[in-house]
Amino acid sequence: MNYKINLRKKLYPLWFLLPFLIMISMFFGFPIILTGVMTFTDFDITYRPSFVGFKNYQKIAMDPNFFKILAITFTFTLVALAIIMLMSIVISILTQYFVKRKVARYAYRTIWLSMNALPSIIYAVVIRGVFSPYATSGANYICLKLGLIADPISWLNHFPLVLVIFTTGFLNGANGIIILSAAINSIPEDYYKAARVDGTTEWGIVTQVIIPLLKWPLMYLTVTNAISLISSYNYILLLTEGGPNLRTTTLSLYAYQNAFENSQFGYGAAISIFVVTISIALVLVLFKLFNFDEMIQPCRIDD
Amino acid sequence: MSNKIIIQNNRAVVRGFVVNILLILLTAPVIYFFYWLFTTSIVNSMTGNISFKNWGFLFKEMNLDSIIIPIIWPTLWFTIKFAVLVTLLDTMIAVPAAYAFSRLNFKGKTVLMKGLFFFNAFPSATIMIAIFFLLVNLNLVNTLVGVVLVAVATMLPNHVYILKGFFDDIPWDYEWAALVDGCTRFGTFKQVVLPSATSGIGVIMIFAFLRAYSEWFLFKILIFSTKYTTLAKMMQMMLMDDGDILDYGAMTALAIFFAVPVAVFYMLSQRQLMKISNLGGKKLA
Amino acid sequence: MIKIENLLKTYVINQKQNKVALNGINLEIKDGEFVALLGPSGCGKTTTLMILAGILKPTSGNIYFGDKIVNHVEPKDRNIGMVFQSYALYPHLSVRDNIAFPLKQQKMPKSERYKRVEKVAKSVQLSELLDRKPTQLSGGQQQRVAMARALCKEPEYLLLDEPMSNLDTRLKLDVRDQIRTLQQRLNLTTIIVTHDQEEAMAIADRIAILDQGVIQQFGTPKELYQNPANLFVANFLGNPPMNIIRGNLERDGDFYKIVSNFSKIKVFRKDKSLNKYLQKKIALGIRPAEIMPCDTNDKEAQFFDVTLVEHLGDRILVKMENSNEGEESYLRMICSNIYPIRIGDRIPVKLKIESISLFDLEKNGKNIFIN
Repeated sequence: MNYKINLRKKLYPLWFLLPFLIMISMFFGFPIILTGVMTFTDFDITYRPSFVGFKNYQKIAMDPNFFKILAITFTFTLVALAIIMLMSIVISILTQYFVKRKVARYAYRTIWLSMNALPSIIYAVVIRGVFSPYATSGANYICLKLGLIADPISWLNHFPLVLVIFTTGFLNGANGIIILSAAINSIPEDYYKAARVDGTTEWGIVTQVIIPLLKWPLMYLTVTNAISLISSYNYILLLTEGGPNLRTTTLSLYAYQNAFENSQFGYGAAISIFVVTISIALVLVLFKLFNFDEMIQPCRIDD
Repeated sequence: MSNKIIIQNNRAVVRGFVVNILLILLTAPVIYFFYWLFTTSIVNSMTGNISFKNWGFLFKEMNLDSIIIPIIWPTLWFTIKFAVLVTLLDTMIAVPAAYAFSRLNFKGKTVLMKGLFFFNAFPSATIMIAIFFLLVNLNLVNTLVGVVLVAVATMLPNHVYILKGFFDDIPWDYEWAALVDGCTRFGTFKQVVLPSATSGIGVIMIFAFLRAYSEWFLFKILIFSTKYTTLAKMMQMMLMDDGDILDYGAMTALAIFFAVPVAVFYMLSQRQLMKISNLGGKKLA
Repeated sequence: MIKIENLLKTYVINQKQNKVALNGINLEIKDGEFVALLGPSGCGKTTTLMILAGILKPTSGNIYFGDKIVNHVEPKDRNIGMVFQSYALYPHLSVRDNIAFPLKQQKMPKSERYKRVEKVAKSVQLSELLDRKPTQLSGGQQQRVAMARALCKEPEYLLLDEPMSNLDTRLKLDVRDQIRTLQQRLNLTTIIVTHDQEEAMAIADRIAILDQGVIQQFGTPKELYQNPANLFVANFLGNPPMNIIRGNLERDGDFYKIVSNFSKIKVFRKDKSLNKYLQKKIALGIRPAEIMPCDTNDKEAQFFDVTLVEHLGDRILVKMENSNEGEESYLRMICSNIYPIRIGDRIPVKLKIESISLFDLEKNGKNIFIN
């Protein structure tokens, strides 16, 4: 009887974990490996793949678009990241530290929270609309009225990358604002009082007290946003579909288009493997940054 | 002495001024977006007068030049059905898993927790191609089941991670007391731990519902027929339609209609969300 | 009867390190006895209690309830009641349902359950609070609910994990009395874990003092106080604590003295049994109440300079030293406030010979006079 009980006890956690483990291995673990495997096939619309060795990678090296896309990807990621981080820091410090009245603080927080809340589709509609080539409303209307331009501009045709970068940066920044605001709110008042007694200016407090204390959330936000920017293309897809002329196509989008629009699944997989590798590397950086063992609480009930 | 105070006061005034200007500049775009959204939806795009023509989809089928918007209610119903399915499946899988990670002991726990952390941070968009291939082989492409499974799978690591944080906060002595009071280990889970975790579970359900409600991308790549269309997918189709002229009036009206439940939900769950922003409890200062 | 035999408990800390929490515990608790597990934080007292409860399981060794081995018996089958330091009242249940919870697990029908709850609630004056939620109760009320919940299933053993540490001092005394009375009336074998030595001395029949996973001494409060087995026990019990002077044992004519870098204290004993400790490192222990002022001409008088005098009502606490080098070895003395002692005085005092304890520092502070 002892043996039976032991087995039952050992299997007990399995019941809790099994559905989760199955889902994760099927839809995360396995596809990651599968992506790698697919890069060596010529999987396409015929759904009859065969192994072609490194042909896909050779194709990438010979693809005239590839290096342009690589450059766009890095530009996009770095600039959007900068916008996100800058925006998060500036706005959260402004609203949580400098704004003294609780009502105003709450109002700003609500505005940014609601920005984070709404689905991306809605913002895509707004951006497309505000920056539409019509003169009746939106950016053209304002610029014409202010005399900045003479004729309505087709924004998406002339400044596609700028628009896409700013949209992605601006809208993803809201998430960082929330996390940093929570972090700043948890700084005890005494730190500020001590600094002021020492004669520190307000700007000094920002640079010498607040920002050093935000080290962890800032690092976390930088890495997680980098991961997200490298791999996501929802705004690009909705605003410019990668165009015009591939001027806003990033690696992930290129992979998506080759796979789902041209049905070149093997080739698409080969392109996406770059993004997968970079993502894995970034996640490992995240691991390094955060002392992982803190997260694991020992179990305080013996079997 | 008093000069110094005057200078400090002046500085404070100037500073307050600068801060407010900066904030207004930075927040202005957001406010403008909402303003544009609302005004465009009630303006007839042809005449420029105020009308509620754009909101016709509430009552009947709308025939715009390039696209037909069906009456909205069946689509809304389907969207909600989809979101509910995803929420239920996600919750039923995530809650036990989070409890196990938080409270149970098992071989390989460290490795699995590292895996949880890894998949929580890893972007699922990068492996969509492989997922598509997987569904093809399972005959689940173009089915509701397929989309639900993928949607749930992509949210699971994040939700389990968050829920684990909630379970971690429940004091161990509730379980100890329950064990002494006559419960089996499972009994403590069911009767004592679960009821104490309801706020965390509620948060996860809200997250899952809103994510599923907003989902259009999975429908785009995994569904080919128009049998299964959600509100978000509909809007995406309108936005990326090949026709040149987009009826922004209709689209903004649709967008507002779409956004209302989301906004309401978020307002309701504000307090819980603040708790989660605490990066899983890591001390900052 | 509870018997603990060679109990060993080790933990594995992540990188394959082992921490020994309990290093061979042996204890025998009689029926109806009230035993305290006493010691500083981390000594292993709570671990022992948890193993008795069945929440933790022993690494090796045996636990007997009666004559049955219960090492791996689940808590629910041990017929115990337990009260935790934080009371652990279920927040989502009312007071009534909290108390009824154990009975519900026994599948007692609802009406019978609630009847028993009413009865128990009346005996601890909780009858008006039955419909409230735990968060609506004060600390003292929560503690009574926890006791009621532990006792309503009429267990054979009662385990208490620092149940009074969250109460304020006045309440503590009342609760202490209540627990004692209750325990005696029910003749319930009870084990309490505490770090408060005063509490343990007041409430327990016998006390087991633990340090670093080992029982230092197990006996009645009086035994522990008057005949501490080692330096640790001597130091731990008593408020103000026992005076400890460390040094070498040397001869001083017919008598002995403890000589340290900073002072020397005479030990007026004549028995030659101390000879074998000469030149060895010895600690002398004497409780403040066992020192008293005496006549200048008393042959046992030793002189000390008074550095501090605290008034404690009808008694005074005197801090004094006999070296001019520093505070390394001062003594505290408690005596009646009749004596006109002031700071700066040089007073003659004598140490009550029978109350002097000598501890062998080379043998972990073991009391020389106890086998």
